[in-house]
Amino acid sequence: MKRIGLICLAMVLALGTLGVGYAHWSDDADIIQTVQTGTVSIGFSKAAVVDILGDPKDIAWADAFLTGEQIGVDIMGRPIHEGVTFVIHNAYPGIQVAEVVDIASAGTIPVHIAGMTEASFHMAKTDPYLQELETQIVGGTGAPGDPLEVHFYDADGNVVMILWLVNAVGVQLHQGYFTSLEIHKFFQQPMQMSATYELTITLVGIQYNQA
Amino acid sequence: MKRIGLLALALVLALGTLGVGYASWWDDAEIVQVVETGSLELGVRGEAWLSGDIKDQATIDVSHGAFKFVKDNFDYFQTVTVTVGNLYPSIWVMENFYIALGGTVPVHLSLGVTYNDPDGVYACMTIAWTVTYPDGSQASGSGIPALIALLDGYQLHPCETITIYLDKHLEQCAPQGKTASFTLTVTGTQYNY
Repeated sequence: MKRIGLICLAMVLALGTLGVGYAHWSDDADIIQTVQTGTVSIGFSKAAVVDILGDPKDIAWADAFLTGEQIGVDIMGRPIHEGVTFVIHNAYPGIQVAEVVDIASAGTIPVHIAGMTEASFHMAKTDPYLQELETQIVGGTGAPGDPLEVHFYDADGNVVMILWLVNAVGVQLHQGYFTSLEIHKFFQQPMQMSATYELTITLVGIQYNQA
Repeated sequence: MKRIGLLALALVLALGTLGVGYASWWDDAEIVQVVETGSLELGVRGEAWLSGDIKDQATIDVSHGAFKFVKDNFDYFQTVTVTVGNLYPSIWVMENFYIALGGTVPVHLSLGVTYNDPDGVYACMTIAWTVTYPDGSQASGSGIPALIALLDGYQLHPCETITIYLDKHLEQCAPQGKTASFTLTVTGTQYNY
């Protein structure tokens, strides 16, 4: 009889323990974190040839156009494109070409236009045969009021073209905003006749808080 | 325990360094500059004939050097050479030289002359000339130095032609059995140089 009593006590205790397991009501709530990252994107909303200096005969002429996909719209409603191309026709030594491009931010994160190095430029004579030109930054930074001067040399060490860039480096651009970069090119005597030269200038925009 | 703490600190610092390397977002955009340079190319063509009491005794030949370009359906060359054989006094040698610019950049002309005349043949030759400008106007004179002075610095534009007419007359004082020549070099230099 005593043994039966012990068994009953054990069962009661076991059921009691089970009761504790089911006794607490519970509820939960989720905190959902969604991150939508912004974008850093720069392009161009204007390309124009301002003047061709030293060409009183008006025999040199130029084209300027935006290239690539449209990646946004600037605050003036102008489309922002990926790239820009200038073509100077019938160029000859002694003339200067003044151009302006509007660099615009198409991304949602403000950008700083990064400082330029010699790696930012690549110039070559592409016709009648390929000849790479050497680049040397002579002075300045390209920041507003501090023109960046770049010389390009042919294989004989002669300066073929002098380039000045004004008003770009260090400028902060918010979405849709733009800055006008001035470009001046001065063609030198060693430039070859009946040739085509191509220069690519690469501008880099860096998220404003890391620049 | 202290050792584990140091290891954890090192790990945090290492991850932090990695973060700096990947931290900056950026984009680039390219400005492409294409420059097509112009050209200048000066060419010449010529024609010549004899006049006077030639009786088919004197001969004349016109030859051209390396071809350069075509303009107005005429071929233009690097050189033109006029050779007169068995010339004798009282004969006239008439020549037209057409100088054209085949390039795209205007030039300024400059002329130079070199003589190979050890026996003084040209001392007994009169040379009159007439220059016809692209607009049709003309200027005349005599002697090569005056011609050089007249055309020095003249600006010739693409597609324009200037004509030099020479009228050479051998005088009685010329020596017999001699050979003489002169080379008139016309140089075009980019107009803004």
